[in-house]
Amino acid sequence: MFSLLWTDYLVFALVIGVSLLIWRASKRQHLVRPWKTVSDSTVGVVSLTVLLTFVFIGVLDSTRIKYKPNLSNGERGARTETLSVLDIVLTPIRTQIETTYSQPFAHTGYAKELLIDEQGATQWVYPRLKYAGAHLVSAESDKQKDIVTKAIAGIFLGFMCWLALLVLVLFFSKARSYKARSKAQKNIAYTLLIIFSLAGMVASLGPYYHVLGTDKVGEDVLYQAIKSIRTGLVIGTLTTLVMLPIAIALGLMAGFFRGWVDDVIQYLYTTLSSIPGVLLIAAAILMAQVYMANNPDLFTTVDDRGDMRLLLLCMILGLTSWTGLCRLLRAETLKIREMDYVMAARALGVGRMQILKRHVLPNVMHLVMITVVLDFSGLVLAEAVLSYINIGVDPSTYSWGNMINTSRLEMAREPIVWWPLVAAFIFMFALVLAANLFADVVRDAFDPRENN
Amino acid sequence: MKQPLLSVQGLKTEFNQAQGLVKAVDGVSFDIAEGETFALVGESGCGKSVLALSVMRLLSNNAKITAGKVIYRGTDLLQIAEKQMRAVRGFRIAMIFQDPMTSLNPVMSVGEQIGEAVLLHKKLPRSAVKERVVELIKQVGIADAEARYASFPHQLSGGMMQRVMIAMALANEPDLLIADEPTTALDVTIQAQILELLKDLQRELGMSLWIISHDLGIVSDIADRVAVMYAGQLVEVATRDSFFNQAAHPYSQRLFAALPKMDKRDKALVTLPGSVPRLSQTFNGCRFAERCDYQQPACTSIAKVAWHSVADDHLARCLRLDEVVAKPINTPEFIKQQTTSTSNKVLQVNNLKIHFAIKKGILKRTVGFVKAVDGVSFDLVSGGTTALVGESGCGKTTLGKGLLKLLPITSGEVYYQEKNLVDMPEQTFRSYREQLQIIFQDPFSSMNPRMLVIDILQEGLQALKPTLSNLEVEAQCAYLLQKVGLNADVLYRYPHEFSGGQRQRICIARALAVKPSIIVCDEPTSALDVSVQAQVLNLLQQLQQEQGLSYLFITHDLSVVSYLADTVAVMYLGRIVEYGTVEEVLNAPAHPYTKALINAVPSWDNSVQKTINKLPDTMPSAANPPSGCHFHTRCAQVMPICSTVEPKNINVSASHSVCCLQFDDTAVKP
Repeated sequence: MFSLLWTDYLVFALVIGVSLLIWRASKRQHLVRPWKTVSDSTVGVVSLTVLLTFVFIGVLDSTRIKYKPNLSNGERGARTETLSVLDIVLTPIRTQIETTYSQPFAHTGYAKELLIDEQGATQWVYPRLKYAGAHLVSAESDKQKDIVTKAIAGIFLGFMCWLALLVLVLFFSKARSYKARSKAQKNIAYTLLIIFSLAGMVASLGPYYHVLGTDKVGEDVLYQAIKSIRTGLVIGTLTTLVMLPIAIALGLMAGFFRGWVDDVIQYLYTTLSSIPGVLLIAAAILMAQVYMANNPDLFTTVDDRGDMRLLLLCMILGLTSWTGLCRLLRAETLKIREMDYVMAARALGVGRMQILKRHVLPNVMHLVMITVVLDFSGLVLAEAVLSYINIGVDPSTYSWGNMINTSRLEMAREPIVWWPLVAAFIFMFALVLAANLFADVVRDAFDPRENN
Repeated sequence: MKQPLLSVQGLKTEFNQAQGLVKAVDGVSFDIAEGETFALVGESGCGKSVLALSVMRLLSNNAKITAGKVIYRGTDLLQIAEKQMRAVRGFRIAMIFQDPMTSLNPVMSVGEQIGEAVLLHKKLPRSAVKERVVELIKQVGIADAEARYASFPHQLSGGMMQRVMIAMALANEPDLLIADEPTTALDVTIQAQILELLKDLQRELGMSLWIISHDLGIVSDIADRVAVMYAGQLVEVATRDSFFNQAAHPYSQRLFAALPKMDKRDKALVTLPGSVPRLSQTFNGCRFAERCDYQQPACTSIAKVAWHSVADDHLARCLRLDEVVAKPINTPEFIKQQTTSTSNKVLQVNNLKIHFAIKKGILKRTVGFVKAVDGVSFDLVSGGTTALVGESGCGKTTLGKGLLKLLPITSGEVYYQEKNLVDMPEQTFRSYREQLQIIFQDPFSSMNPRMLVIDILQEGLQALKPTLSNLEVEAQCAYLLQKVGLNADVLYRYPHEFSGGQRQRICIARALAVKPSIIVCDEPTSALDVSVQAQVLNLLQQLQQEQGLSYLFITHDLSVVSYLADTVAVMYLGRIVEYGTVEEVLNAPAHPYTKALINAVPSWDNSVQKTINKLPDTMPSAANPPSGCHFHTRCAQVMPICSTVEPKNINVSASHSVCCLQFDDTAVKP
C-alpha cells in the first residue's frame, strides 16, 4: 500500500521527532518562555503558519501510495504506479498535460501553429489548448468573466472550509467564543483565511486553466512548483539533521576538553572550511552518478535514483556546513566551562559527561536553535544554486533549482517564456521569506541579552 | 542665600516595561550649591543612577520624565532643545561611570580620547589640543604624561583608566561632575587615591561634585551633604556631620547597623526584613513602613509623608522621628559563643604553588609561568574562619579553587585528615569532595539558569550519594532550604526568579547538601547590598555555630573580615605577607602592605586620624614579579636590600607572622 523512499522515512522521522521534542519542551518553563515571546509577535506567528503550511504540503508529498492504475478498458493494470497523496489531491492539474508552452490563464498555445480546418485550408493560428479553457464556447468574450466567477467561487469555497475548521476547533476547545481567543490564535486564524482563500481559488480554477501556465512538455508549472516544496524542505531540514550531531558533538568536545582534542577538532574544521564547498559537492555527486550507473539493479525506478541523489546531496551539504556552528559552539562552551555553576558542579564531584549533558548542552541550545532556523533558508537557496550548475538534485526531481535551470534557455527564447522562473521565484521567495522572518523572531526571543 | 548651581525639583521618571509602569524616580527634589560635594546613597535598585541620567537627559527610549524641573544656573534643562542640551552635557555638567574598562574605546589611544572631549566644544589647533591633553593627564595624577598620551586603554590599570575618565570629564572644566559609583570596580587602595584625586580637583577647580554611591565610608570621606534614597524617593537629606553623628530616618539607621564591624563580632548583624518594594506599585504613605520597626497605622494611612526637620539643615521623611531619634537602634540577638577555636586543624596547607604556563608559538612551547599562588602555607582550624585578604589579582581566588582541585596544583601539600589531597588521583579525591565545598561571588552566574532549584540542590547528592531514593532527596532538599531560611515551595522554581540574596542562600544550600566540613567562600557578599550582606553573614555565622563548619573566607572587604574571621592571611602577588589572628593583623598590622590596605578603607569615625599611604596603582604582573620582596616596588618603607633578598616568614608573636625584611634581623646584616 505505502511505498516510501529513504527521504520519506527521514521526513516522517523528523516530523515525529520534532513533535516529541516540542511535547517534552512544553513541560520545561525556561524553554516555553522564549516561545511565548515568539507567539506574541505577529510576524512570528504569521511566518510560522506559512512555514507549517509548506511543511504540511511537504508531508502530503512524502506519503506515497502504491497502486495499480485502472486501464482505459476498465481493468486493473499489471504495472504498479506510485503516487503521493499530494499528487492525488492535485490530480486534474497533474494529468492535464498540453503539448507545449502556454501562458498563465491562456486558452491557446503560446506559438502559432499550422492547422488544417474543416474546409481543408491551412491556417497559421494559435491552437486551442487541449484542457485549458476547453469548456468555453466563445473563449475571447467569456474567459475573463469565467475566471472572475470561478475565482470568487474559489474564495468562497476557501472561506467556507476555513469557517468549518474554525467552528470545529472552537467546538473542541474550552473557550467557546471567538473573542476569548489570544492574539496568536487570531493571527493564525487570519493567516489561514488567506491561505484557504488562495487554495480555494487554485482548486476552483485549476481544473479549467493553467494558473501559472505550462512548460515545454506541456506540464502545469503550478504543479511543478508545488511539487518542488518537498525538495526544498528536505534539503533544508535533512541537511541540518546530518550537520547537527557533528557540530554539537565536536563543538562541545573541543570547548570542554581543550588540549589535544581541541587542537584536532580545530585543525579539522579549519581544513574543511578552506576547501571550496562547491568542489566537494561536485565531486561527491559525480561519484554517486558513476556508482548508480554501475549498479543499475540497486536503483530500479527514476524515483529511486532521484531520491538517492537528493539524500546524498543533503549528506554532503551537511558534511560541509557543520563548521560554522561547531566554531560557535566551541566558543560558547569555552565560556560556559568557566562559569561558576560548572565549577560548583565539579566541586560536587559531578562527572564530566554529566556536566556536558546537564550544564553545557542546555545552555548552548539557543545557539543551535537560531542556527538551524537561519541555515534553513540558506540551504533552500543553496539547492537552487547547485541545481542551476547541474550538481544539485537529479534532473528528474521537481525542484525550484531545476525549474530555474531550464528557464535559462526559456529566457533566451523569443518571445520570452517568463512564467516558470516567476513561479519558482514566488514559491521560493514565500518559503525563504517566511523562514527568515521566523528566524529573526526566534533569534530575538532566544537572545539572552534581550531578556535578562 | 546663594542660588544653587543645580536644583532638582519634583523630578519624576517612569519606565515603560512589560510588567507595567515603573516609577524609578518619584518626586525627588534637592539642590547642589557651587563648590559643594553632594552624595546620594542608597541600595541597588532605588533609582540613584536613573536620577543622574534623568538630570543629564541620557535616558533610554522606554523612559520618560513625567514631571519636575532641573534648574541649572536659572535654565530648566528639561525644557531646552537637545542641541542646547549637548552644549551643557559634557561641557558644563560632566559624568563618570562605574566601570572604566567599558567606558573607554579600546581601539583609540588615551590621548586621542581625551583630545576628542577637548575638541567637542571648542576648536583648537592640533598642537594646542595635545598640550591641553597632556596637562589634563598630569592633572589627574598620572605620571609620565607625555608617554601615556599614546597608550591604549588595555595598557593601563583600572585605577589609571578611571583617572583617564576623570580627565575626559574635566576636559572642559565643568561646573558639576557627576560620579556614578566611581570606585566600585576598583580595589580599596586605588579607591582611596581616586577619592583623594576627586577632592583635590574639586578644591583646585572649584567645581561641584555629585557622587553616587552605596558605600557609606566613601560618602563620609568626601561629601559635604548627604541624601539617602529609598524606593525612588529621598528619605533623608543632611549635612555630612549631622548625618554621621545621628542618622534620623529608620532606613539610614538600618544601613549603619547592617555594616559588619569588629565590635559587632559577637552579635548578629541587624538586618532588614523583606525586600525593596517593587517600584511599579502605587505607594501610600511611607515607602519604608513595611520593613520598619517603628511602623504605625498612621505611616501608611496618609497619602504622602512630609519632610520633618531633625536639626539645622537635616531633614528626614518620617512621621515618628522623635521616637526614632530618641531610641535609635534595637539590640540584635546574641549568637556567637566565644572561643570556638580549638587547635584542631582540619586543613593544613604547606608551600602550595599554582603556576600557569604561558605558551607561545605554533608548537605551544612554555615560555614562562604566571605564579598565581607561589608557596602559600596556612592552617584551617575546625569551626574557625580564616580570611584571605588582598587586592584583585593577588591569587586569592586561584588559591581557593586550587584547594578544591578545581585548578591543577603545581606543587605543595594540602593535608585533610592526615591525607595529602594533592597527589591523590581524581577518583580517590571524589570521596573527599563532599568535605570541601565552595560558594562563589556572583550569585547570578553560579547557578545554571536552565535548572530548577531542586535539580541544583540534588546534583551533589546524586553525584556523591547515588543510593538515596527520590523521596529522601526531596526531603533533604526541603530541609536544606529551610536551613538557609527559604520556604520549601521554591523547589520548583528557576534561579532567575530570586533576588541576589536569595540566590546566594540557594548556593549555600547547594554547598551544604553534601554535609561538608570546610567551605571556601569566594567573596560571597561583595556583589550584594549592605542589608543583604548582613543577612548572608548572619546565616554563615549561624551555620558555623550549628554545624562546626570551617570557612576559608576570601574577600577584599576588611570590615567583613573584622566581623567574621578568626585568623587573617594577607596575600600579595601569590604570597602570604602577613598571617595572624584578626586582632593582631587588623589592630597592629606589621607589614607595610597590610597597613596600606587598612588605611585605605574609608571610615566616618573621626576619632581615628589616619594618613593615606599612597600605594602606586600599578600592581606588578604575576607573570613577571619583582625580584626580592614582591612588594618593594610599591612599598613606602622600601630599603635597598628589599629588591635583592627574598624575605622569610618572621614570627612577631606565637600566632602572628610577617614576611618583611624590616623584621628580619639576620637579613639586614650584610
